Amino acid sequence: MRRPVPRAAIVAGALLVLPTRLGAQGFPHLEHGNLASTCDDCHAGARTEGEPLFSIDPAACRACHDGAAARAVEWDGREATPTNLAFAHPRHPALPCGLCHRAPDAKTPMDVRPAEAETCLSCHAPGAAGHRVRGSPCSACHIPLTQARGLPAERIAAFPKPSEHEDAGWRFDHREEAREGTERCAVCHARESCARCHRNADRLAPIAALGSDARVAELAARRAAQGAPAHGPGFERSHGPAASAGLPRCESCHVETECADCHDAPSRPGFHPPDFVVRHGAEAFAARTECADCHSREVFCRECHARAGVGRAGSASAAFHDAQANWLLAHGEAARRNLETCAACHEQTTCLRCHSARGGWQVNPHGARFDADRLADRSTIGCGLCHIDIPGSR
Amino acid sequence: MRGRSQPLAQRAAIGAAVALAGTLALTRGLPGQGVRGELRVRGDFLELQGLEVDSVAASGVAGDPLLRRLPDGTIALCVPNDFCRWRRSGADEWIRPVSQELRLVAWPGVRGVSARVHLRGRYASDGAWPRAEQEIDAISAYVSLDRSEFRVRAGRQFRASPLGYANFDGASFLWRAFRPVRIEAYGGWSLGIGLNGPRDGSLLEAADALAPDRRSLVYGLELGARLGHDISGSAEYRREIRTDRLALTSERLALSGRALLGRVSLDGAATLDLALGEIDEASLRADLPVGRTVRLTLRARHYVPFFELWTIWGAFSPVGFDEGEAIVSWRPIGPPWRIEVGGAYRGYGAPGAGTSFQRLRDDGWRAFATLAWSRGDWWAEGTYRAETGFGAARYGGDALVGRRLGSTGGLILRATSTRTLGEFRRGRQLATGGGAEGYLTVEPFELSAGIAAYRMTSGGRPALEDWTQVRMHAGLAYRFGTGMPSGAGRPPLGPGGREP
Repeated sequence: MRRPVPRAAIVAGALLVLPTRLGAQGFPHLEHGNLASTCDDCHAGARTEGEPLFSIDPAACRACHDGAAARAVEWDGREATPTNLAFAHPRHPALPCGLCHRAPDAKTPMDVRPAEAETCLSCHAPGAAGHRVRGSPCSACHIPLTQARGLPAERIAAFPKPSEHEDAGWRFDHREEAREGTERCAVCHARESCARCHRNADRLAPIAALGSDARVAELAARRAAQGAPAHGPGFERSHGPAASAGLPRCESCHVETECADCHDAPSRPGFHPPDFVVRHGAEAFAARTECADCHSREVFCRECHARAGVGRAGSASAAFHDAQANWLLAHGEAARRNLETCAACHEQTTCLRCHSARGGWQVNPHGARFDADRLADRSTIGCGLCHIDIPGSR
Repeated sequence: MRGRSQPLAQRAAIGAAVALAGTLALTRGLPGQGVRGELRVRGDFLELQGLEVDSVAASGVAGDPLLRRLPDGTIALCVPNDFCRWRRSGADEWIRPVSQELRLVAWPGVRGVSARVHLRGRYASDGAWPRAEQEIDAISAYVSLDRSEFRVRAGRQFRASPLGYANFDGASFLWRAFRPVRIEAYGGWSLGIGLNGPRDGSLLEAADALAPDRRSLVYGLELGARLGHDISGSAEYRREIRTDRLALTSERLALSGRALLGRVSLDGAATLDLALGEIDEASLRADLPVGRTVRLTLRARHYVPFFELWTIWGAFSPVGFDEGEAIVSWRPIGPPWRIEVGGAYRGYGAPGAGTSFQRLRDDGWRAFATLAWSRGDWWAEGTYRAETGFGAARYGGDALVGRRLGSTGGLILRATSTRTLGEFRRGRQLATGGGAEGYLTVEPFELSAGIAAYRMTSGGRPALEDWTQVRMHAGLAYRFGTGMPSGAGRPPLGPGGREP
């Protein structure tokens, strides 16, 4: 027995298909092949400056598409879609329309398609490797973004990228190209594009050479508000290796004081959320970011825990670790695995009451791999805290 | 003379700041001279409720010798013929920490020479805020000579490296004349991480009876190299030694590398504790775009906590864990959405301690999902995260709605609900609440303010009362000086403190 297709799946499928169908919909030239003798009949603006590109009278369409002879259509004419092309049909040297618009293997002149960039490149940049590939001469056919005033922000956001922009290193390599000239950059970018990262954008000549654009400013602000990470998800917590390796050059976009904004900044909110204090336990145990990279365990963590009554000072005054009936026996395992959280509440002397060769219970805290000689070579004082026979101990 | 060196260093930094400002005031206006600064003040008003120890005569509580239950279910630690003790909610109290920061950078008119100072003042109503008793912090105060081939710095400066973010009082020399290679040597008086002061100062002395009684010297060498535009790496050796040379404070080595291979970026790092012969941390991270809208980040990590040798902790043989993490981010081109999901799993090494009949779990995991949306001046973001495992657990989410006010201000509403489980103890806590924040820049000022309230509900611990915490903050920043970058050059203001 066939299982019924869930209704939700049908709806989801329709939602996926519907935009595609609508997006692909255009005027079916091929089906109207016998109505026009030349392209100019409907596209007078392609030949004559000042005429609309879509010059056919909508009433002419409705003459047939009246709902009886043919399905009714609701079309009231349209404006040419704004582009950033340095191209206007009537100003371009006259060429046969089919040179750019004829579909491959077309059998009739009305079998047309949108022009493809490669056709333009064949004349305007004959040596180019292709469209949107490394080094392709964008400005040969496109005007600077700041001059393409008819483009809405959404279309700018959806601009395709040249292939080299997808390289992981492009973010760090683009300086050389920008120094050579920004004509190519200006096709898609404005000053505000660069100012998203370059704090000194207003003092860099290649950036200053780009125009300013309110649409790009809007997009940049939107991405910032979205919290869209410039370096990829989670980078703010895992950027250490990249920064230390020297690639990228952090200083290209950041100033040194920004390090202190997170690493040493109790007065500038930003890294932890406002109620972090009630949820930081899980993060501390997972050591997702090492607390001690910025905070002193003894002075910061322990002091706060002690004042909150969480940390222990002095004798065993209350049952804090009461989840384990025999915590005293279980604590060794917990300590080995998360000593840093122990140290966030407990002083060393608390442990030395039992774990010292000088007195107490003299419980050996060292693990099987502990290299006593190695440590003694470097810190006799450390050994001397528990052992009496280490010279140099206090 | 424990504790004296710290005020001296602070006084020196303050003196340097005053001298710097005075010198610049006298010579202001000459070509190539300039000063730029920022003064920032922030006040917080926080309601806190701590725990207090309560007790009753052990003879009045029946049960096991050590852990007994009070009539209301509270677990108490009992000493026969003495008292049973437990922790209960303390009284609510308001604390009012205030901090001030001054940042100055000045160029005296000599090519490549600059001076930088970063001071912080802290005050609190009753010392309940960590480190509020330290009134003045000198985070950095140094003079720098910066040329294309080299850089020399002298004074209090910080280093950000895999070995931590720490400052020191001394000098550093960076040589980069042979461009693919850079070498930096540094040395001076060592300062504790997060202290902005020496380890023999009053801060550490008050916090730990075994705090060092001598300052430490630090010296180190970093070698970095780059292969083309796509591969780079560095190695740093650092040694800290007590001034009486009786012991090291630490001896460590850090290695870092990054490779940009086509669309994939790889980075890795390792830190080694040479004193204990341990690999403290080793990580490898790959970031790769999938198509135009999806980004995948994978990370593997080995982690063992590092402890300085003045503590006993390193000799307790910590074992740490190995972890794998994956994050997928999807940002479609058209719709104003961003979706991120991710998770991680970690497994701990065998501790070689404890008892065989009472084992703790030896793993942990976390997962999160974030959905962000924006349209026009409005944006919203929701995150749910779950994290559990050895030691602690939390489950909950945040929802944020914001509206930008032009390019210089904004309002943010937050709502949150997070459940946490007690760390190695019974009980759980639910924090639910929300708040509002606002920020506005009116050059040269930047104002920010916020208010929030969280309802804390406890479960499984009858001695803890439910209560509501109210928090407020207000801040003002003032930027001044010459050559200030325009507002467009700074990253847009926005809400901070978002996870993950």
